[in-house]
Amino acid sequence: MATIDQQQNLGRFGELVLANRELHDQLRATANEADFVALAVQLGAEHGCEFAATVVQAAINEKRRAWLERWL
Amino acid sequence: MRIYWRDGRPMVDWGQLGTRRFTDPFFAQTIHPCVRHPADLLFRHQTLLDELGEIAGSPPGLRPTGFIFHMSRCGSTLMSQMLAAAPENIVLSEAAPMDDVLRAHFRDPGATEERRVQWLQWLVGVLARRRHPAEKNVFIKFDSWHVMFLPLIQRAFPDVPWIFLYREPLEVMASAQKQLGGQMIPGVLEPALFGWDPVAVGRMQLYEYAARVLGKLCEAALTRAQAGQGKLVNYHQLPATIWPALMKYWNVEFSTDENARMLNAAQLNAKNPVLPFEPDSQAKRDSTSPEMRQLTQQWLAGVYQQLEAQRSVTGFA
Repeated sequence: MATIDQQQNLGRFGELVLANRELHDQLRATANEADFVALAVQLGAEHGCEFAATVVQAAINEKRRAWLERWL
Repeated sequence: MRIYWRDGRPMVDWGQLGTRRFTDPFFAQTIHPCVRHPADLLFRHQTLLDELGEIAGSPPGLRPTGFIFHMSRCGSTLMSQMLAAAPENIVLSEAAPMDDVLRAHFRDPGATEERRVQWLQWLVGVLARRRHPAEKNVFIKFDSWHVMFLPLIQRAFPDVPWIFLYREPLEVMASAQKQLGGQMIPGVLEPALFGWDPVAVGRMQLYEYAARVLGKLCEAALTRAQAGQGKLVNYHQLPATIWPALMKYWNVEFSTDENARMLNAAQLNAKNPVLPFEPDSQAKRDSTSPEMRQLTQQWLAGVYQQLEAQRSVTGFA
């Protein structure tokens, strides 16, 4: 699947997470970033949103960069 | 919370603050842990800034109690940390979203003064929400350069009593010599904020720029104080001698315990509260270079004298 499609799927999954506190809490309970990425991929697939771990990791890096950029 | 522009439109990036109070020396220090976990970083609500009005009203935030403006390096963080020591107080200290709104017109021609006034009201409405039962007062310590926006801020909140904190300028310049604040570095703030053109700024030496910025901040406060607004407070009045008069000015009353708690906070280094406070005025004056003394004399001594003269007329006794 093309990266752009996976990014869109991650975006759709993000909307599901924001609308579903339980889903967010599950992801929030992960102990480290690697566990979080693995669980996001798994839960995404279970909810019909397929994306690879590399797409999640790239999104985290981009969000972190954007956040820090504002505060520097 | 963070404000950013997407496709030319101002957006709000939300984070979950949970039960965390604003007790850190700066807003950013309280906010950063909210996005530490990747789940919080990756999955956050984004709304248009123009939608903030609806959000701000439900439930409405507390009305601001007092504003703190300052020239920087003059005890403003000490004051905000003292206030934050009382659970009754919400203290927003140099909150970046407010800076985003106040300076929005430099990046977005659609950010008229009217809209910025509205955005600021909404933003404060959201940030000043009561999240703990004890909270009933809201104090906002602005970034030092926000005194340049005093007329706009007063339009948004006309009845909120404000103070301007300042300090013997050689001591402030000594602090700048040790470590320059962002606002003292050319290019960080828009030259138009001080009525300068970029070419003129480009010709200024580093510490000359710092001294002239500090001078502009003091002049802006002086102008309003001479018009009978606000109160001027000198660093050397902090904290105990001025505290009762200041609380009366802000129309707040605290229990003996809370007053003691706030005054105890003054015993600590405001920016690094694990360390005790140590008076450093003499050491600061002794450490200044001849260049700093000359720049202070040229750009700051006059306005400092005027602030002192005005304070003797309209300041706290």
